[in-house]
Amino acid sequence: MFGYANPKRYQALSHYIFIAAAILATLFLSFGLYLALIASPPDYQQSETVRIMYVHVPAAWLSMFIYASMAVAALVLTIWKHTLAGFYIRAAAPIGAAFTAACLISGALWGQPTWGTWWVWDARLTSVLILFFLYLGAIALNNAYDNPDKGNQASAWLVLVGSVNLPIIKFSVEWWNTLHQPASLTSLSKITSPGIHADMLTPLLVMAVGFLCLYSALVILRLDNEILSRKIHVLRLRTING
Amino acid sequence: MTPFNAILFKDLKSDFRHGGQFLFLPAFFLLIVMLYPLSLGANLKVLQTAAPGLLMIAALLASLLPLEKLYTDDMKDGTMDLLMLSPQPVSFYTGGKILAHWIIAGLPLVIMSPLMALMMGLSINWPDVLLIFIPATLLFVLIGQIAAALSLGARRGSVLLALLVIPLYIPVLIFGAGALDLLQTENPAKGPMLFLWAGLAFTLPVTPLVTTKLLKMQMD
Repeated sequence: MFGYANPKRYQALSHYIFIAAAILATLFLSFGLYLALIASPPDYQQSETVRIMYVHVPAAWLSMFIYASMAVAALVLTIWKHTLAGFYIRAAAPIGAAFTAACLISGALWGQPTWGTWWVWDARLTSVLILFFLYLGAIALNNAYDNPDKGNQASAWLVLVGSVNLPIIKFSVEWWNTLHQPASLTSLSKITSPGIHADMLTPLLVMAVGFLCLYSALVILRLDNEILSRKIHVLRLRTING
Repeated sequence: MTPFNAILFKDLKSDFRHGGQFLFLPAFFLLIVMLYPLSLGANLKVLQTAAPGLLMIAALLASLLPLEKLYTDDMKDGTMDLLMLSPQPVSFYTGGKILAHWIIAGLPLVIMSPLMALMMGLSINWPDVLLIFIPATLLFVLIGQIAAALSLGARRGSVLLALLVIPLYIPVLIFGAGALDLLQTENPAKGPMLFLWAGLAFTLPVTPLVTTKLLKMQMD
């Protein structure tokens, strides 16, 4: 598995994954948006605003998935010192922050007509906001060093500490009363008999797969960029030092 | 003298001889607490309901101040190079640093805390206040150590440090303020207090090791 820690071998494979992910993302997102915006029925309570959920929930899932994947990469970087893992953190953090921001903003847009307020200091909202700041910290730390390798390592440690802290934050924050509804899809058994109707579940899952493909395509692009810019950095150093 | 003690006494001495943060930080703590009645009004009812959170925020801000200088001086004057080259485990150094840091920046806040609680109109027994502020300030110190070591070689270190450390301080703030609030309303506060001490039990052994690792990375 670590054979692909070599950037060259990784790039030979990732090129094809990128093409596949980009095509799948286009297909799933366009089909998912059609289902979500046109084909699915309005909710009996929330009416048309329920359609915001088809963007909001996949963005929320991805915001946590990306942080978890960064934590795994951070572990790989600190234990095995594979540079590519550091590149991954650098590439994934801004995308993760963007999905977290999308989740927060779409949630606010949904909250205004449904709850009657843009923002409440509710457990779920607050812990997502904290997640957003953890992303910002990782990005800032990545760029704060003259030596990019050091930035990657420092950022990896922050992501690790943050991943220990995140469940603590989540549960400590949840001590307050919660306005946000509990998760409707919590396990596989719930997918077979879920808390929401199939007409709404299908577009949601299609959108989620589309978001995941979009993320994969974007992160591969950014990783390629990281590898290239590191190569330029090394070449420049070589010309300076003769 | 063991390396642990050597570092501990070196840090304490240099603090006592150079003006003393251990005197300045409680003054800062008191100043922030003084701002609350001035901004919220002197109504004791309002102050009482907000006091648990406000006290923890004041302690949090006072704990932020000394973090930036924690390792930069040792890095600039070469102390850290010598320590890294010495045959002793670096964890002795970070362990000594942590204890010295708490005696300078945490203990004064702990001693001040019952007085501050009294001034904010909280009717809580002083041993309970101490039992909350001892683990809370220790956790502020320990988490702050990791963040200080993380941002040591970074550009714009001080702003970055606040951005990194405040999200990590949140659980301490919530459990500390929660415990104070429960005690103020005459409820048993064992739950959040045990969470604080459990957090301390986890963080205390891990922090010297993580900080050591980070310092070694910074010195590469």
